[in-house]
Amino acid sequence: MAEVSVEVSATDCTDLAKVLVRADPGGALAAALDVPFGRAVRDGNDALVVRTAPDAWLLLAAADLATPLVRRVEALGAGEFASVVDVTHGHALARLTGTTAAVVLAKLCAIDLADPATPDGNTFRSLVAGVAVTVVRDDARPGRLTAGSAGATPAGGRDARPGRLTVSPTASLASLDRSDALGSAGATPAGGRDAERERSYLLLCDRSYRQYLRDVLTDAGEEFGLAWT
Amino acid sequence: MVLLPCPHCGPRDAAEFGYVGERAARPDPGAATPQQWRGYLYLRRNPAGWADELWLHRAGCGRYLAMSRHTVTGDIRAVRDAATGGAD
Repeated sequence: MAEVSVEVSATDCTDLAKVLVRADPGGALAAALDVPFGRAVRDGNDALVVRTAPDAWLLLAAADLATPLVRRVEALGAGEFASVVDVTHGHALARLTGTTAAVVLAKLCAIDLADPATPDGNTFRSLVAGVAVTVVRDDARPGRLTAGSAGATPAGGRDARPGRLTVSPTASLASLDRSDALGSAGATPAGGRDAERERSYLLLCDRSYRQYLRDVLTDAGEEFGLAWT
Repeated sequence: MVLLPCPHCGPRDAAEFGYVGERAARPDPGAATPQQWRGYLYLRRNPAGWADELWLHRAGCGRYLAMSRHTVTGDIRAVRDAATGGAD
């Protein structure tokens, strides 16, 4: 059994590509993205597709994938009234990982972070230290899955299906391994749950709050030995 | 903490919401008189009791919500998505 950290760490992942999609929840683009509200699904290990609102999706991918990701999503929604915008430079992203990550986050956020209410693959948008933040529970585990490995099931427990969103199956995997920031978003939810998995949260906010979010996380995590990596 | 119900997110802290105003039926632009437009734009009932209000869940799902709220007690008897539920 691999070691599980008893501490908590934070990583600034702001450089990752972020694409915001707004579309009709009953349209073809929504069907292609195929993620229910409140869930985050890793699609073919290329992008983490987060349904942040009934009519909004946030796609996270390795830093060099923003442009192909936008083009691909635009193609999926061709002829539909939808917007696909690269918001990489407008938002800040941090990852909070560790066995006490939920305790640290609970000091700043009123949402119930217990497993029954906020399981792995769950997402919500709420106030974190007074700032509107999109929180994605995306548990990390050592020796994370790759697309070619057996059991590489997206969060949500669904297999990748033909016609679903893909970007660049070969280049992106290497990019994700390089970035280390999206971690193991290909995590399998309860049922295929890995006991070695570490609790982890992605926190996304407006970029103007980047330093503030870092400061409040540092302050909240001080008693747990939070370290930025 | 005052909790407001969101049909999408569940009960949330009232600080996440923004009060937009009382809901009112929009007059027909082709037939409305200036007085009717003025009433639609500026006049409010401001009741001490049940009111039909529009709220924005700005720090949550970002949806406009039609809410029936008691302005004295703060009780809420109905809430729905203003767009999909048929806003005025």
